[in-house]
Amino acid sequence: MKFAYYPGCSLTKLEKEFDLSTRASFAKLGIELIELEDWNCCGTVHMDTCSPNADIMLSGRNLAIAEAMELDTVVAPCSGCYLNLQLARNSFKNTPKLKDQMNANLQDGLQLNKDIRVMHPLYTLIYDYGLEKIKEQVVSPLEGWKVASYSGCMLTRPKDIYDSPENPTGLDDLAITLGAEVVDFDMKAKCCGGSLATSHIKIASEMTGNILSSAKKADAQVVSLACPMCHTVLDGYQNIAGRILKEELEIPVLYFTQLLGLALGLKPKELGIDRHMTSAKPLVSMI
Amino acid sequence: MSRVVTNPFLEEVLNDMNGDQVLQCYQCGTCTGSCPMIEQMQYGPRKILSMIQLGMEEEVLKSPDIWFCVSCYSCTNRCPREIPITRLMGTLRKMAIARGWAKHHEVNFGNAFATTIKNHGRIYESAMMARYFITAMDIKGLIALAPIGIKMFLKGKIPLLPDNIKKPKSMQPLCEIQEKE
Repeated sequence: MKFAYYPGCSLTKLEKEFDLSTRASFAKLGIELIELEDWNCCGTVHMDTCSPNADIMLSGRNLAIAEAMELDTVVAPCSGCYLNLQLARNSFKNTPKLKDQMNANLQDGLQLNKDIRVMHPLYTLIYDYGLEKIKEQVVSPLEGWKVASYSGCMLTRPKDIYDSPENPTGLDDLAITLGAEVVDFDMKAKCCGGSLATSHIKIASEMTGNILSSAKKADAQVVSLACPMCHTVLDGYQNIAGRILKEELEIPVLYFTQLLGLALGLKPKELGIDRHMTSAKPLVSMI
Repeated sequence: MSRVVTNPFLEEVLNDMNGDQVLQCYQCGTCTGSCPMIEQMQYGPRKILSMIQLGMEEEVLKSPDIWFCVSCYSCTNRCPREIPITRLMGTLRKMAIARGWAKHHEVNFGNAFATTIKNHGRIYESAMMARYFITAMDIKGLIALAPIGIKMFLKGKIPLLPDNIKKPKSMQPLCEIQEKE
């Protein structure tokens, strides 16, 4: 099993632990990830000052790189990158003129002619690899872990391709496969406010706080998620959110790939678990 | 299909690929009920759509609402008329900038972000944050973020040097394609 791999900007430094844990756990499962050569930013949600479709054009270049490398599927762990790649793929199918414009502005001999499939690693595990096959390889089940699976928004967009935006179950299904117990909580599919994390810190912190509070009230010991922006605020903004909501909100926030790696027997350090702003040490020592 | 439109703002929105569905809105309010940012907004997406239909150009494009949209696509997912409201908000932001009406910290952040992508091809947090805080003069924000920033730096999360693509100049043409239907 071999896929193109698009780490995206957040995974190079800020959220390196998501990159480390995706590569390590996928290698352990025998899934080959080949990094796109000279990939660029997907455009996130902040490019309207240039053009409302800049995200589609920038993501189109990354799809063209996959085509040049003769790979038919791109796996993108950042759910923002994943969504923009999906949007680009759909827009090019529905409005071929957009693809022509993108191709006309591409340099370095890149051109997009094929339809490149776009996957999130969570969906690769569920739909391409299979949870049963993962279960057979679990050596350190996450027994006694109470996990709040937080999907956020981008992971389930565009709606209903791989998971429901209203009642997402993908992260829960994986956590159960790894031997953990999952809790139900109100905020599992609500926005974290991450895109306002710099320009409106108070608003983003309040939104983040509401998610953490909901997870804690459901008796969770850890939040599992799949997006670097969600992780930056849910892990990094706990103190400020706690002060605003006047609540104790401390809780470790791990990537689903870190849960997977731990269950497959990888060491916490290989998975970048020491890089979180809120320590996950007491939790990890339960294994 | 012919249509008679007597207000230029509506015509301009209808001519954009993200806005050509605005007349489909029948004001059910599902978008506003789904919006996680509604408490920060002056009107909310339902009223914004109605105001576009009525040609209220200045009220729409000067509202903070278009900048508080976080592009979560909750409204788009649920819209029974399949209006791409999230993409439409992006088009409205661009229109507000073109008219010189965009005054919001998100505008400074968007500009800082876009400049970083055009210079490097990838996000370079240090330069982007510096550009944002200087252009927005957001001292309160800087003070609030400083403790988190320092801890992130100590954790090795903030890059000192940019991680450029081979030819950052190739980004500009892709960033500036303006699509009209």
